[in-house]
Amino acid sequence: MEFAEFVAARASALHRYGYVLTGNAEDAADLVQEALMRLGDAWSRVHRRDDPEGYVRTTMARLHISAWRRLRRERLVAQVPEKPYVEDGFDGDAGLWQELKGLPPKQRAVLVLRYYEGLPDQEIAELLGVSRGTVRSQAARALDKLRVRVAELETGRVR
Amino acid sequence: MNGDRDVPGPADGAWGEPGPVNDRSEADLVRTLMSAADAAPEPVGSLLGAVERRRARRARRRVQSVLAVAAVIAVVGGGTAVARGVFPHGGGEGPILADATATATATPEKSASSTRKPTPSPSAVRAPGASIRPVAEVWPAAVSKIPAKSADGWKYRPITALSATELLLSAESSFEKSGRLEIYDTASGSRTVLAETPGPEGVKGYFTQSVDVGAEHLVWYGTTPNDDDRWADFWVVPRSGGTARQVGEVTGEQAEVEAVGVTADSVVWSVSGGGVYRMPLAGGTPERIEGTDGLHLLSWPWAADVGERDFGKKQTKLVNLETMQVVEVKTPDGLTTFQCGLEWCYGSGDSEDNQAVVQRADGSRHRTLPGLSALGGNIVLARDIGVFHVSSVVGRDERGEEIEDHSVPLIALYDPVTGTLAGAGRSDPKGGGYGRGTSSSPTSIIYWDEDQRTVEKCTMVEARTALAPFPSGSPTPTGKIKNCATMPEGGGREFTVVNLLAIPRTE
Repeated sequence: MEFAEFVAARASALHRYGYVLTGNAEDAADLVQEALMRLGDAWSRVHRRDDPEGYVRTTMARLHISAWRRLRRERLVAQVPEKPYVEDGFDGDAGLWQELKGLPPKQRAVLVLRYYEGLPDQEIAELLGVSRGTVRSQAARALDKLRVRVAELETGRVR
Repeated sequence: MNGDRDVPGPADGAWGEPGPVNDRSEADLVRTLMSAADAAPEPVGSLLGAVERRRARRARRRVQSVLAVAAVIAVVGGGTAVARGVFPHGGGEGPILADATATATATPEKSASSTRKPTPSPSAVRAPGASIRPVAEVWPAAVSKIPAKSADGWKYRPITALSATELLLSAESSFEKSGRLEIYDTASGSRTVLAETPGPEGVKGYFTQSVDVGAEHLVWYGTTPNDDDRWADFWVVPRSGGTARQVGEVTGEQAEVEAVGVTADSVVWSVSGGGVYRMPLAGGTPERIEGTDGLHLLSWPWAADVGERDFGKKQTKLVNLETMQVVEVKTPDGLTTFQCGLEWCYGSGDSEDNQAVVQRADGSRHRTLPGLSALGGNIVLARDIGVFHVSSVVGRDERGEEIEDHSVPLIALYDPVTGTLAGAGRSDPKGGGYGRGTSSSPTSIIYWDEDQRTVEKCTMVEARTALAPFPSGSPTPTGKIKNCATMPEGGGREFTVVNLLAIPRTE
């Protein structure tokens, strides 16, 4: 597969992933572009040996939590407008979506990887380059802030 | 909320304060993320086009980000310390590493550095890193304070140390715009201008890039990072100082410079795609050094088969470009990154017990360093000293969750020859930071600004403005929301510098 074909085929899915990682369309576009640019550089190697989509998603998650990005990005903290609002076709918890924007990038990334990507904690740890314990503590703090009830501690069961 | 957002729950008046009741389920979180993804506004324009334009501008951004990122690395805290308040941080004077908990339990074998192997604390109340003493105690002769600005107010950017007391600094008239090279002598506190770095006449948007120190000369290259030209030039000045002289210019692939060095008669450099070139100091046609395909200059005459952009690639050999002697590197299994200095190699794997691994290139003296983790593969400093992040986990609270101690050092320097670890960097509850010298060869300077703090600044803004990326057509958000950004604040007066060439070694 050529790089251009890959981008064409996966652009939309990657953009959605970037959107839940960053919480807004501009940062999502920036993140996807940056990650794809790096994939383009490594394409000859990655498409032969590795999984290009995994490479991009890993790059996006790492970029999102990386220091250079954090310094620049502004974020919204947990203080929602008086009236919740929704996007077209959005049927989730608008308050929750807003509060997600108030999380530090690493905590948010952990939640996205666990609940959006559905990855087990060990894989999240490998992907972000942190320990599994850190993944668990980051997730626990984030869930606590968001007042999300965890089904059962330690099992990480998702209903 | 269990999907029932119509009921104004008690939490509505208390966002921002964690309520005692967890009123949402994990399923709500899954549904919210999925739904937000589905409702994500479509990106504008062609993604491929945008990516290709970015790739075309890559050289510019890479060079800029190499300088910016390599120079100062800011670390923002991963979360709120559960034990906040237990580890108070002072007003910024002196090392902030040895706090209450770190000293509450006596630190064993503090001075037995030569045989010391850090071990996880048996009681799990301290992070392994909590016993790492600050560099000012471990290697007092190597630590000094230097002004952060030149006599005329230009900002210093440390490059590397020339000796145990001489620091090579670049003075910048504006961000990353180098104006001259200075030497700061930490013994006498005096500074000397070594050379002006004016750049070539008539070249717009010229920036000097990495500097390297040879036996008789200093060398650097410059580019025009803000245009799409593949162009670079090289300059030299005698180590004793004088007028800088342009050696020559290159274009095309030869101009994708990633590392530079200087020999007795030539400028040498490697390019991002691999391969090493040379050009006579007197000027002339550049030539590619035979047998250097895929090689990246580490520090003349040594080259490696991994470059700075080969994240996740394991080094397999070191090549001496003067003799073409090849040193095969014994790469341990199970690592994701592996990178060597001249004698020692560092790596990192995915499991919790091999996040920081050190050994000699021949595979001997292999050991792991508990509580430390690799910094994205860029571990090796001058004299093969390694730099690692320190885990701040000190224990677990009653729920079994980890407690972070932000008073552990931000980073640890590891001397493989003596087996000594020393804590460095600026650490504060919301993060910290440190810089490394910008020389092309592994630098001998680590520095930070003790007076700087990581702060979160929040302003109340109209929700409508702050949420602008949301599509029109949806109900307009009303009211004000808090908009926050995390950034470093303060400082700018002096740097605390660790000079790795001043570390005493008695093996």
